[in-house]
Amino acid sequence: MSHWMFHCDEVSQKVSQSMDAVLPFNQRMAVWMHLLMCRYCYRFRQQLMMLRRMSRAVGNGSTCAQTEDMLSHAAKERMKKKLDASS
Amino acid sequence: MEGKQEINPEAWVDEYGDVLFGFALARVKDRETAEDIVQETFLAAVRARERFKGQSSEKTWLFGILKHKLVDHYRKNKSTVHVQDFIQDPDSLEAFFNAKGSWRIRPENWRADPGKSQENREFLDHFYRCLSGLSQKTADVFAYREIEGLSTREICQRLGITSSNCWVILYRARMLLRRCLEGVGFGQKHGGDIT
Repeated sequence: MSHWMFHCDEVSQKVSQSMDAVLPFNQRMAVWMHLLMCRYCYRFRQQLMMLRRMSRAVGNGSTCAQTEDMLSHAAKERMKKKLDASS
Repeated sequence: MEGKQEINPEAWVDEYGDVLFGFALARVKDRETAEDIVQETFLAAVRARERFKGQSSEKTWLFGILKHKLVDHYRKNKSTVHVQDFIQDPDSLEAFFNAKGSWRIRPENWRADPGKSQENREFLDHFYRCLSGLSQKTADVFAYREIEGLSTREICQRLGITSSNCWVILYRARMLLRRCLEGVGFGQKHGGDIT
């Protein structure tokens, strides 16, 4: 195996890591070379990107349903009592 | 006192109760459960108020706690999906690859279009079920990074782990989550064959 060539298992780790840190230049090149040739790793990367997009949407509520319902007065009073008792 | 904010838990109920409730109700089945989760969120916030440093807004901080409570709720719920239903040995990520390092279970094409709200809703349901099937620590690290958007440095500080440990946990979480999502039907069947 050439030193600069990654296998799919290594590429999957590097693709994941590249979402949290900047990889060294040679590793970025090796990953991209592999992604150009391997459709499964390319799909894997697309999946992680989508997982991120959707997770962030879960986090900020921008694309997920946000109901208009409000807490009832009774529920609010109940919560305040509980909070009062615990603080 | 380096900008510490005055915290008034009872005022939270009036100020943030409705938005937290609306967010929770869109993610659970009934009002009662959503109310319980919001209440647990406030109680947890009271317990953790010493940790609130005013770096984020109070609302953002409360939403962060709410999201964890939602994951906890799904974890306790029967609808949890365990990734071991789709992969024999989830403790060993080697199960995903053959001895040559090539995919053994090939990633599938995902059919979802994030722009379509119906598919978002479907994804969300599967997503929470799969996330709650991960170990607590793995799910926490993933939620901090991908749902709350914290940097790995912040996660390391919060959990007292190293960067490389964090990357390993995130890799594991992503591998297991994406496989679980495929297992519950998020992918298209033709690509996910086992070699």
